[in-house]
Amino acid sequence: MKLSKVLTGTLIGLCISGCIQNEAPNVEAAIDSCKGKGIQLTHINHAKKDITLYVSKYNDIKKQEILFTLSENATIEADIKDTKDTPPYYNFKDYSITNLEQEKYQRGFTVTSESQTIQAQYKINLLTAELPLKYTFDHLAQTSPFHILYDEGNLRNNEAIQWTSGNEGYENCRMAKTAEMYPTIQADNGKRGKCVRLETKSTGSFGKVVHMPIAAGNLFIGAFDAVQALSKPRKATQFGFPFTQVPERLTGYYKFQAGKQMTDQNNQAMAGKDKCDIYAIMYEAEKFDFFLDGDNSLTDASIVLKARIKPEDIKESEEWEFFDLPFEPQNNKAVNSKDLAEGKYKLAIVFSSSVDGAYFKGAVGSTLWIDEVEIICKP
Amino acid sequence: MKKYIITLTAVLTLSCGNLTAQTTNKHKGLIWSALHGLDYSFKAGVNIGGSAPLPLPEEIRSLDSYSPGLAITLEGNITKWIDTQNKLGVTLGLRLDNKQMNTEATVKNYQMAILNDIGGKVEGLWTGGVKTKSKMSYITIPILANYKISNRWKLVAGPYISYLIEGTFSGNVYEGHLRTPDATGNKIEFTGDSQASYDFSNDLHKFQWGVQFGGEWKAYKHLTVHTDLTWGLNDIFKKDFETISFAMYPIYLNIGFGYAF
Repeated sequence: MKLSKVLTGTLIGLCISGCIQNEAPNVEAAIDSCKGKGIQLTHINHAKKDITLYVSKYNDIKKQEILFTLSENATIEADIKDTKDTPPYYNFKDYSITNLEQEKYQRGFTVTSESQTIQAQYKINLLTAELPLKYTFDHLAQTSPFHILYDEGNLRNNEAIQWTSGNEGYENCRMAKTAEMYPTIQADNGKRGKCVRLETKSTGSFGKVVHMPIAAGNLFIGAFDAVQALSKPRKATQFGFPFTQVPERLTGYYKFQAGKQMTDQNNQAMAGKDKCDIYAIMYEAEKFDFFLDGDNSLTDASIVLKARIKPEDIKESEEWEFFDLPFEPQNNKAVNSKDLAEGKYKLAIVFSSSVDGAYFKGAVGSTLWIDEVEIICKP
Repeated sequence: MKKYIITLTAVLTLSCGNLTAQTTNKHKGLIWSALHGLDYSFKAGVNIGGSAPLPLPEEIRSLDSYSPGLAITLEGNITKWIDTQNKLGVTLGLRLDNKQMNTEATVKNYQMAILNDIGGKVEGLWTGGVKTKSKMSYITIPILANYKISNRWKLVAGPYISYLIEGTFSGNVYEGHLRTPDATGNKIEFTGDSQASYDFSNDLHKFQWGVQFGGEWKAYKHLTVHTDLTWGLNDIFKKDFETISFAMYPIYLNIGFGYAF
């Protein structure tokens, strides 16, 4: 019986293998990443097919290099044929949609799948920006399916940045039916105007099977790489944006309430009380595509300055608490003014409702409200 | 599995016990049956096969592993011979049918959806590994035509209908990427330990019908050996189930032995 079973199994296996059809051309049509000379930060909104490239003001945007990572064997073309384009170099200079004072350029691109059956139309926005020094959390760039906040400072100096959060990763666990159910949202009753509310949430059954049972609410300057959200979640949070001043202090207001029960990455109860995290780092980034991420943003040797709230100073309070965190030198390094002027330093501001949220340890319900943040620089 | 072996042993022991205890009555009954062209038999066997789309869709790139599991079948049937030479007959049976398979396959652009505990659905195209475990228990009624080639050999063929008593169809995806929610959506890589499980057990169709054909060999006066191919002709999933874009048909080879009264 055993032998016959093995034989039949093999026969069926062979038969099925023999019936495997020729491979069909790939139907995927998507942009998974954009890189290129002078690109400081890439925000890809996959749902809206809208990509924002922050580029250095020294870039020649008549010939902006964009190296696309596309779905396998897909092709990409600019919607308007421009004789000045020599892919991967594209002319953006003549496509200004400058609004208010902030210079912005936009072109349409179409991705076609290998099968030629599926097309995706993207808008690629190019802009130069400086990090603002004050953050009010009063503006939303997107309200659905989740909130995306942006802040602008003095627009004459091109000060504007969109905040990034792990909301896009949280979307994968399908626990949020409304934007308000995501970990990171804009909330009412700020210190002034609106504020941001970060809350550690359960990721449900999907999160448990991948050992990510919670998602801390987080908000940071940088990019979220959705491709890696599941396989290397800490690598997915890429922190930082070029900064050309020397920061002295990080100030602002917060309210924190710890969730009831701490759990670990396997959703097992842990002793202890949850804490939030508020910090900013300035680090050396010789190249724009160098980022510190969730794995090394507090420990990497490239860090020059760090301002971080001390765990013992964190108060649980119903009232807004002021924080004033000095930037302290790290790794025996000092800011080099030549590199500073050349944009070879990046600044990252990071908030999280659970300090070890990146390791999926925290208490569901821990909530951190933040408002009126300021980077105070040396004059 | 144990459950079935115990049942099987119990049934066999009981029937043997009955045989000795009621030899006289039984004989009378069997003689009466024989005179009216009726035969009874009890069969046990194993099902080896799988549920597969036919032809295999281009989404399936390779079958990396397959194991049939031990799926036991138990059947009691009655055959009425309709011609004078007892060559042609009709069989009506009642069968407990277990159909299992465990497979690992590599797929490309395979349409799938996974639900979480609050009913949230992630859907999209999966490219990578898919592990499937399916285990279905049916009550099956076959109605078969019989043709005796010789005293020892007979051929049987006919339709059957099955009712699903319980079934699971689940598994997980690994080493690959999901493009969600569609071919132009964002990519989520799954590597190393990151896997996601799925469970389509609740989407299995309760009714199944198909055809079977095979042969039976009489080894001794009461002992028969048989092999039958059962070929399902409707999708194992409900009509409104769209996650798997193609219909899957259960195709199993049944091998076993029987006791002819």
